Amino acid sequence: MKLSFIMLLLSGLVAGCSNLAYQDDSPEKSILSRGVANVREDIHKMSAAEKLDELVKHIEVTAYGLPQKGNPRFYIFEHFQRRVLEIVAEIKATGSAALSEVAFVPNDKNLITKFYHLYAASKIMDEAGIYVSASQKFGVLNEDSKEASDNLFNLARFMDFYYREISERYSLVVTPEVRVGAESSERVRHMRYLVARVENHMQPFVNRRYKGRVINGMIMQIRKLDPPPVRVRFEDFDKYKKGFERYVKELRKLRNSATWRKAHAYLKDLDLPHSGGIDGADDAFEMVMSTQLSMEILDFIVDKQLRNSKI
Amino acid sequence: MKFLAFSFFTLLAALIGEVWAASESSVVIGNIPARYLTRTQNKANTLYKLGYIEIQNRIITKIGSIGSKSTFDSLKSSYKKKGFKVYLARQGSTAYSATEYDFLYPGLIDLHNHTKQNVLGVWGLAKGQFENRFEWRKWSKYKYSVSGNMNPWIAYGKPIVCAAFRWSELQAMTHGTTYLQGPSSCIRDFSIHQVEDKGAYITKRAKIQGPTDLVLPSEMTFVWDELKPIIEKGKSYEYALAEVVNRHCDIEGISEATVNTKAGLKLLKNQKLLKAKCTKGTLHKKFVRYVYWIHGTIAGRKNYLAGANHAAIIAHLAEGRRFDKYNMVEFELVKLLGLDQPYVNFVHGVGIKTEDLPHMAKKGMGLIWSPYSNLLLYGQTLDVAAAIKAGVNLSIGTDWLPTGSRGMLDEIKIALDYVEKDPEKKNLKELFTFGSKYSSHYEGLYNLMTQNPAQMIHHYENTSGEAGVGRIHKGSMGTIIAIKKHVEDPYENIVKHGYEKDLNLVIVDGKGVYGDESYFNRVGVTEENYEKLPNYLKGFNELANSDSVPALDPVGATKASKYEHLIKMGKFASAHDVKQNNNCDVKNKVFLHQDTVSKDKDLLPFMEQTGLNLDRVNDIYRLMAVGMLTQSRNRNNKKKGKKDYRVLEFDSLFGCHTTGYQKRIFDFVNPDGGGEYDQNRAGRDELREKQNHGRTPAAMAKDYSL
Repeated sequence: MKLSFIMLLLSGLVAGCSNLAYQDDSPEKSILSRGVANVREDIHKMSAAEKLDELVKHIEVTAYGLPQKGNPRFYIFEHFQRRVLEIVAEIKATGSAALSEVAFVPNDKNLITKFYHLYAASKIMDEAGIYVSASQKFGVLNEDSKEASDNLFNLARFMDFYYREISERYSLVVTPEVRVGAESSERVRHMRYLVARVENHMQPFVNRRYKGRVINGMIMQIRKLDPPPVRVRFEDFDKYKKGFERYVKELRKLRNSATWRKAHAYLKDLDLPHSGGIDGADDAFEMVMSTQLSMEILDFIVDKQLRNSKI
Repeated sequence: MKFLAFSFFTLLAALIGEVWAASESSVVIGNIPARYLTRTQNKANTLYKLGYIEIQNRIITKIGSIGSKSTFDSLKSSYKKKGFKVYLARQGSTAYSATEYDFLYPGLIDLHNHTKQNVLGVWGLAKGQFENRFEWRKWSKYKYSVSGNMNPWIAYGKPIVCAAFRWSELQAMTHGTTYLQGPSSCIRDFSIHQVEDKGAYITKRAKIQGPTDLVLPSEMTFVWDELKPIIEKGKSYEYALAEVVNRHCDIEGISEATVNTKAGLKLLKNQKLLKAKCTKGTLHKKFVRYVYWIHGTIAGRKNYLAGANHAAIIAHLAEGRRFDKYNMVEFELVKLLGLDQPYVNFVHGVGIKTEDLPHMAKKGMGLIWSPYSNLLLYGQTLDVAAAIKAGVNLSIGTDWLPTGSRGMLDEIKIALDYVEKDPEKKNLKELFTFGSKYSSHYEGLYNLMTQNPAQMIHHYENTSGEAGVGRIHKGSMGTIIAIKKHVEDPYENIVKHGYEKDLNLVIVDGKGVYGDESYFNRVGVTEENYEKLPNYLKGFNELANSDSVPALDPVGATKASKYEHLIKMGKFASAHDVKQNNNCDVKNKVFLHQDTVSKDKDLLPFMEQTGLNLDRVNDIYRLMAVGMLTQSRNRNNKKKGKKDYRVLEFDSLFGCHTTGYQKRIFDFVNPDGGGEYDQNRAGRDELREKQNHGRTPAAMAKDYSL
């Protein structure tokens, strides 16, 4: 409760500052206007649908500026971009008249949870991003360019607008259970994306059939994970809670299994494979990063999920 | 015990199978260049003599000359009685003739190719404007042109990857290449050999290593900044690395003696250990990345070269223009790393300083020259004059089709045009006789396709347990080609007059795989045992603009869903109605049926489900055409691809079908001026400015404080 109040206060402060940003040459404006794809100054005047288009455009420009090979930052961003496109398509497919409302999150109960999914996808990306940034700081990964950092910063601010509006206006709809549920759902999607990446790039490193079987077994278990869909109705809560606990139990069991341990051991501290193709070392880094780093990020996300498993 | 015995015999059978899979007893009769004959065999000392090459168990077991009709007749008869396949390398007639037979040559060796991308056409945007290879690779238009067309279909499953590599092999084969360098898959017993495949030779040596990159610009700033000052004081690379690691890390066991050992590498490949223990002082920004990812690769190369049975390494180096600042650093880095050693060969090497070439020669290193690719991309190529004067061993490589030629017979003509044009007036024609060692520059250029590359890869000599390549010699590998005779000089014949239409026979390890239909009919091979070529199939290019084959969203797609999609593509390709349209001057060629699919756990089910047999040129063509024309990112992904860059025509196996290709390549370096090479040079600066190039080379130079 206290935390929510503090968040509201901070949000108000930031919202106030950001309003100032569009009124005059305040420092806030310069922060928001950094980066290749400037967030448009009249964004607050746009309809919800237009804001979504602006978001998609910003994400596109950010993705364009990221090196695509051998770059785990790009991997997690690519998945996020795809999720945003899927969710935006779902939102627009409803044809809701509320999308013309001048707001980030329009007042339509069929849409609010979808908007939270949008935010949740960015939150999970940021979660994975913590691991990437730590690896960059350590030096095993290349740092993001200034342009990429600026764009990611801008994006975080953009998503913050969605979060604040949901927190301010829709806290009775987007309850803590809904938040945990949406985030879990996005987390599982991200895990599936990461294991698909591992599956598509692990060949050079799997020199024994039994290793392949173990890794494929882990991949299969990840694909079977199925958190229950988010329910907003009060009467569905108990059923939802049971489903969620079941999902957490399966995940914990997998995390503590020999399969998990062995799969990670086989794909740890990998050597750069032979780089005979036209893109040479870029291809080699792509293979090793897609495999080893995807496994490391997967581990990180799973641990995060297991720490955020109460509803 | 029983299990051990079983395993032993299974292994033995497999080894024998591996070695003898392509073995046949053959004799090839044709005109043999004088250099491959003894004085006794060629008493008149003519440029060539009609002769025979006997091949058994993959090896040339006998070479002889044929001085009369009676010798010719008795030879043929006796070999046929012994069960040999007797290939008569002459079109139209099988009668004795001292002069009319094809010239026989050793199978050509192409030491540089990026095989997978040879499904693309020549890149129209390459106009000699780039400074180094990193510049065009970072250009968005390159990404659309290449990556945008190669993805995502290439990741749909093993069958299509196999098809792409086989297509590349077939292209090379139709140009007389029998040893092709480059990544590959499905290489065994299909058409020609891969240079890096140990099974391509009879040898005790380790596999040839062909990494594209030995020197990585970004990570090697660590070597330049931190290790160079120590190495320049007379220390080794290993000493310098150990000193720097110990300066920053509290890890026991790292010394000059251990950094390249298994134990040392294990320590340096331990991320947790490095994080916990490398906390002293300020680390170079690439320290961790170099130590963790790169050093192991360098150590691996050095350990390989230190082994008694190593073969060779082939890697890119200094590709771009001669005086690009970064390009000129790459060989310096090689020296710092201690990789300037015998049998280390560099592709392109354009930026290697002239004063370093004698060092290369002294060390027994080689250079692989790709003139067409260099001139198309950079407007400049290797200073071959300086390389020859310094004594560096030179060979030729085709690079890849997007900025290169389809095969050796085309590439050597670009080299010839360049030598004859001699744009820098360095007396190249004379230099290519290698100090009058050879009769003409033709012979010098011929060596770039045969003996020189064989020497570079440490597979030239015939010794105990070793059968060399690159020459027609008793004890060498029985891989031979036959090219129609146009002129009396055998070297001028292949270098200047030999085109894909003139390649009449390809024998790999004694087994005929490709050539003139009549040559195979004469040895009893009938129509049901080969595929007739060319077989340009009309009716695929229209798919580029139709919706007949749906796309697959690859992001998040599983391996299973991609394979499923590949099966659908394959079924479509198999059933698609097309017409043969052979409008080409390559006539009456055949490719013998191979049988790898029935033994392959991926290709056999693919055939069973789609009807496509990837041992057949026709079916490979079908699958590749559908993949290239309908499944690329450029075609299907509005966000990440660009429709303007999509492939609209999938080229036939032979260049004669591709409008513009032949005209472009054979007029590129016009000795009389006015060719595309000259035009590109004239317009280079303006094009660079218009396309806004320059940032990448400048940034790279800055990284090295140049």
